[in-house]
Amino acid sequence: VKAFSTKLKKRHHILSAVLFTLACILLFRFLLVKEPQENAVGRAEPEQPLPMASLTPTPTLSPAKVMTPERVTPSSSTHSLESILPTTQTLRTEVAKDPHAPAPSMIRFSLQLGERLEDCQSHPEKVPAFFSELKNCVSRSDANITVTLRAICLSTAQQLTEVSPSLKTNFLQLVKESSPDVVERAHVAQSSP
Amino acid sequence: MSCGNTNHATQNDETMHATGTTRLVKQDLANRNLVDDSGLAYENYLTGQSIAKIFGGTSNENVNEYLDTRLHYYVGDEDTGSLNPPDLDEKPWNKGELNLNQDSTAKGTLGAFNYGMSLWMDAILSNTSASFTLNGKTEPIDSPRVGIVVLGPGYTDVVQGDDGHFYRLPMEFRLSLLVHEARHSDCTGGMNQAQINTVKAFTNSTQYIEYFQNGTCGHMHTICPPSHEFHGLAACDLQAWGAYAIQAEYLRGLSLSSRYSVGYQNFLRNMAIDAESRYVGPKRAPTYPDMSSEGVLY
Repeated sequence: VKAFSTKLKKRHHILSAVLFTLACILLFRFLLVKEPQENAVGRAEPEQPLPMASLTPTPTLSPAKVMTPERVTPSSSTHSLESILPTTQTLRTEVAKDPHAPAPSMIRFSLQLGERLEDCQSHPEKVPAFFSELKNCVSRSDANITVTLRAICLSTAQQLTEVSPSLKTNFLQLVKESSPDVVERAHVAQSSP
Repeated sequence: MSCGNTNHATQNDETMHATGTTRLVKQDLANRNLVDDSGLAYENYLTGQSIAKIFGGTSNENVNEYLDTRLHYYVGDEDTGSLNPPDLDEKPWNKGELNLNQDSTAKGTLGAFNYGMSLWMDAILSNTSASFTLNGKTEPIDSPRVGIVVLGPGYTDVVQGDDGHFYRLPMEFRLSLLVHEARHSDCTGGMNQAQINTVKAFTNSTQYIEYFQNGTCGHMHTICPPSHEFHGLAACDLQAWGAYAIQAEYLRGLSLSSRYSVGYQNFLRNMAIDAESRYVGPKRAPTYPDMSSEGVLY
């Protein structure tokens, strides 16, 4: 009888443990489903979930997620900086249409620069060539390139030094050689920290 | 005031199309808490003073309050509205300016436009009691902070690169457009009767722009000088703390967050540089911006 009783107790313990585990799983799933979505409550807060476009939705930021420039269609090649630099005339034409917003080609160029930086992070062997392209962009002074674009190139060169710290000396030299209005507009550090 | 449907991105692929502006702005506002726990950068990068003086603090709540105080109605592609009186925005001082009664294609690449401030000015200058009806609901136009923002095709989530590829336009950029427009809701210093009488005599919008370029009511833009890349276009600011400067601070503050990759930070910084490049006034003194707003001074 004792042996049977012990066996039964053991089975009872095992059964309790299994039931407890199941309860925990169910409770956890319930909590996950019930967790409220913490969105900002603005005046324009949608009352119902919005139907999304066929593209993937812009992801909500969370501290754990690092946001990267997103290209919607895949590309097999990276274009040279020179080929994607918008001309002064293009920028002027676009700004004339909506004077108080960035020119669309400026936006596109900036997105592409961001993508090149990301690419350099994954492929360090591409860093020297990209820096050289940025240097050419900063150094240009013809009428086809705006001071703002050159400043953006200089600022990007500074960010490239974060990807590749060995470029710092080259970057500081570039700052020294750059036109003061470009340096001022880029708001870059002019000496080593 | 009417806004029809518009296509936002050139399509070369059936699956590529941008979200409509009405839906997009709702999404953006619902997800607008972009500042991480450490807050926006404490110092503004233009003068090194506290950025808290711009937004009233450095948290999401502060930025949201800045927006909600100044912008209240977002007019996108699915919204319809009307003005009372109907010709409120067809005055001599508006001649040559954007007129929203035009076909939507006439808006070009418009991203966002603070129509509320413009309508409030029109009402004051016309000495008229005005109102607007948006989606069947009527509201008075009785304050510079009435906060009506019209969203155009440039308020988009997809842009096409010169290489033909489509890029996702970050929400941070669109929100910076709203931060910019919000600043236009501030009639800092107010408008007195003498100013009103002067503007009433204007016969075109150029006179209006020139008159207000140094004023801070509406923080209006000015014609860029000959030395600027956009010379001749009303794309610049003479005021140290106009809409471009506030937008630049917001973008720069966000770009310092560690939640963004180096490429994303770069994009935000580049857009901050572009916004800041529109300032053509004297070198900024390290002063705090006046973020107050007053109406008509009697």
